[in-house]
Amino acid sequence: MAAERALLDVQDLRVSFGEGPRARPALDGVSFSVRPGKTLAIVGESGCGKSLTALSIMRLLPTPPARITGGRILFDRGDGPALDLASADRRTMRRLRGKDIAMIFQEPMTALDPVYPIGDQIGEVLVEHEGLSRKDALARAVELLRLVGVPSPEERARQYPHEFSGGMRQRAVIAIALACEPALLIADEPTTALDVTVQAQVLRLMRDIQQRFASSILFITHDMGVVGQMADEVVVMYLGQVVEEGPVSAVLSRPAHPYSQGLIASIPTLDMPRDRVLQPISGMVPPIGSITTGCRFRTRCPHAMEICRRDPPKVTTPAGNSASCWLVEEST
Amino acid sequence: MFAFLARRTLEFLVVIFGVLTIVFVLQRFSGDPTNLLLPVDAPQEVRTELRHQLGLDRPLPEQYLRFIGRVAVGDLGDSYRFRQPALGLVLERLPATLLLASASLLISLVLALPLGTLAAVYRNTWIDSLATGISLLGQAMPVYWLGLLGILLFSVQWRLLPSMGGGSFAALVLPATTLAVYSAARIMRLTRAAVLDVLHQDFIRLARAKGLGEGKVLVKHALRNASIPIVTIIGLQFGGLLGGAVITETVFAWPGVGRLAVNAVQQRDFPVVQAVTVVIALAFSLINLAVDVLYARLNPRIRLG
Ligand SMILES: Nc1ncnc2c1ncn2[C@@H]1O[C@H](COP(=O)(O)OP(=O)(O)OP(=O)(O)O)[C@@H](O)[C@H]1O
Ligand SMILES: [Mg+2]
Repeated sequence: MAAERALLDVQDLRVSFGEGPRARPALDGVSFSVRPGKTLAIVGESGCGKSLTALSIMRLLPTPPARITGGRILFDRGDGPALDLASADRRTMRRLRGKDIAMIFQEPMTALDPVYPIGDQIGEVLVEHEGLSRKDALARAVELLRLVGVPSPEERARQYPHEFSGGMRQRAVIAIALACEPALLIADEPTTALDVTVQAQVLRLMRDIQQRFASSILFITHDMGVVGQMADEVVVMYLGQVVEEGPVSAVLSRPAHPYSQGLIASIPTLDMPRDRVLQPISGMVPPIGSITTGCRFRTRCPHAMEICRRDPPKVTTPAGNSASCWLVEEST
Repeated sequence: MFAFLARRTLEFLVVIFGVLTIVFVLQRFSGDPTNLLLPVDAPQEVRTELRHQLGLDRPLPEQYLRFIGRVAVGDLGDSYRFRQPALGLVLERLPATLLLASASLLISLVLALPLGTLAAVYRNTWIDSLATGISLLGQAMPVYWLGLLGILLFSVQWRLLPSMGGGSFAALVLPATTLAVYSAARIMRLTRAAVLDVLHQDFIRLARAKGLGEGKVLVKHALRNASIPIVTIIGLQFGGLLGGAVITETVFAWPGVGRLAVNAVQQRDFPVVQAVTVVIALAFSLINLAVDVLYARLNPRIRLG
């Protein structure tokens, strides 16, 4: 694992909102790497900084107020040394976006431009990056729609977003992302806004794509339940930090960090009543940036101790996951 | 699209009927027209005879229907002063007013669209503040005051432009610019708001994620979407310009409908006032109808719905 070069290597990424003394850190030293052809999942409750991480990689943070204040985002283009996206210039980023790194967003209902036909919106990427004529791009768009499972793609390509259902729109967005066969696909909660059956279809589609294109996927979700289906590795985030990471099998079966344990305990299972409300972890997520030292999870942790006021060490367990927790050190 | 336009056309007819009804009612309540048409000492028989000729002795509903019938064939009565059909007088001067309003609209758009877009793209910077400041100033200055100021500076002081009359391009510059200031300010504010609103949409982020340059993102996606609300406001402003022309035409002695209306009011030439009202209302409604068609063309949801 160590010998293989990572496609994307995020090192100590820091993002803040605002400037000067009033700046609030939102990502606080996030590190992880995505290997070629593998899927890495980022999990965490709402507001922990998952989208910020994705937008940092794309360099699409809303600046101002958000700003990358530190760290590196190394992207391996396969030729020469890896490129640091955190400091790459606009032009380089523009060429990379949609071509080498593509992103699927959380909200399919509003992700597409209402005034252009779907086919044109897919073709636009090909015109931009592959230099195709509009006609050739449209023909490719139809193929892509077929690929992502949109029925009668010739007709659908001529339709407008309002004529598509949420699931179909998300498929169209996926088609846009796949158009240039990117090396890295970032999917930011691609199914959260969809209803359950459509969710399952879109997830299946994404798994097929992974096999077919052998691209790497950075899969963002707040649902531990889908991590097992989708990912090879998982990163658990809490309040702008990574608290645990490792192979999916290890993290799911033996979560080391109390926060991961809480997330896993709250995965709905088939035998439980449908209408049961899940109470994942006690307490509310504190505002990001409100706790800046020690273990950020200590205010909600069932095992919190005095020592948790100090920054916890990062410890690797025998199973292969590493967690930042004082407790883990004690148990090994 | 058909259903949408059918509904708009119906609304158009309703508005026109509403205007005609108001005109009719005002006509009936503004006193006995025979008082104006006849000398004060005219004998009662002559008065009764004239009332009969004018149909004023018929029941009101019948008068109303006759009135509508006459309007339908373009008869809005004769001007008391000119002894000619009032409608003809108005239509004669309509081109001059349309020219003034169109020139103003053009000036407004040339100023407002780029400024509003710039202000939205560079929001919360000095560019935005400057544009916003200019537009507030533009909205605050009354048209007649601006007009007089323009005449004083450009005609009297510097002798660059004529201050009155029509017919030449130079004569158009001052009144058209004066009239344009207010609508330019309004259109700029709304362009800024519309572009800003679109720039915050998710599909703009997707356009950037596709690797499009900022120029393409702005023109192809942001402006194209913002054009839908902007077209609506432009239509409204054009209607406003027609109304605003009344004052401007008076200040600059522009031979248009506005000046005709002001003179007619002063001389209590009711048929002309009525004809002006009806023609302006008709023009206003037609413009709105045209805007609705354009709006539907720009908006796929309506075009295909
Ligand atoms: N414009 C902003 N100004 C200030 N803080 C912001 C802004 N946008 C986001 N944040 C903060 O950044 C934090 C991380 O947001 P982010 O969108 O990355 O969360 P997330 O993990 O993707 O959550 P979700 O599951 O809801 O999508 C949030 O706690 C939020 O408070
Ligand atoms: Mg998010």
